[in-house]
Amino acid sequence: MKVIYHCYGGAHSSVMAAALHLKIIEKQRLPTEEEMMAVPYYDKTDNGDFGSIRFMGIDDSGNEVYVLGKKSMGDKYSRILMGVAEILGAGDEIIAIDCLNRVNMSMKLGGFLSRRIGLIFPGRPVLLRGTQKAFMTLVNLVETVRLKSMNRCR
Amino acid sequence: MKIIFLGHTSVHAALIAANIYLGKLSDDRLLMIEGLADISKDVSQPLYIGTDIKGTEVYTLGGGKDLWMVKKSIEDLRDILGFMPDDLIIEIISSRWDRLQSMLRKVPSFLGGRRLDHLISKILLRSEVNELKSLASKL
Repeated sequence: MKVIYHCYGGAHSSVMAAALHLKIIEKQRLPTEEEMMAVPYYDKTDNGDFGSIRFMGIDDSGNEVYVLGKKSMGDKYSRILMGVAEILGAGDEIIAIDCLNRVNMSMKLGGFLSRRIGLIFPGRPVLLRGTQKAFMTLVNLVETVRLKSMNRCR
Repeated sequence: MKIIFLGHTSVHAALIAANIYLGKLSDDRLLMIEGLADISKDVSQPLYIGTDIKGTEVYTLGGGKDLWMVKKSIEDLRDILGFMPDDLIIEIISSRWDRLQSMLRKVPSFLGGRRLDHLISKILLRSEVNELKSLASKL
């Protein structure tokens, strides 16, 4: 199965969710700034990455985990991806999850400053604090997805 | 093989292009196209239009403002699912009236928004039929 986490830029909430899914980041405690910055793609994408489905890794159940930036298209993007997979006869092979609704104001502001207008300072510190604040909601989301993917695999 | 005509919505220019490709548009009569400008059918999922004589399934899909981004995602999805480029072709259909139509769709239904979109879309898209025909004939 393929699990695709998507958010505005595919650089923050979706990447953090994928890192939690893949256990790159531990769910039991808040990650440090260094740990977050060590996650592949975290706050490292540019405008050319919009729409690209990027591979993050394979989880312990053998599911492939991907991230994607889809601008402000919301959950509509999940329906597009699932719909296309269905017409290809592979509807059961993917799970697409919108992470945008787990993003708080600090993440939006920090992400905008850091990625959109290139102000890494002060954008990144604001973003990192925002990610820590949103951490538990992302943990909950990922746990739901992991259960869903395990049920589908059975 | 499957073809998706990817437009701003699945029920405007993309729907006309799909009907032209399938040879369903006779005498440029847009009124004959079932579901044209019927926004209730635009549900962010591929809309099946028909199958051509070679067995190719034809769909339309509404991809919003950034069609190149959506096309890139669908192509990446096709690849990671293990399909070949010929299994699924995505053809972007844009119209110079996309922005105007998108504004019309924001007019509430109780102010006649849906009717207005329906009526004006047909008038505007009529001017695009020849361009859409040449595009569909290249496929």
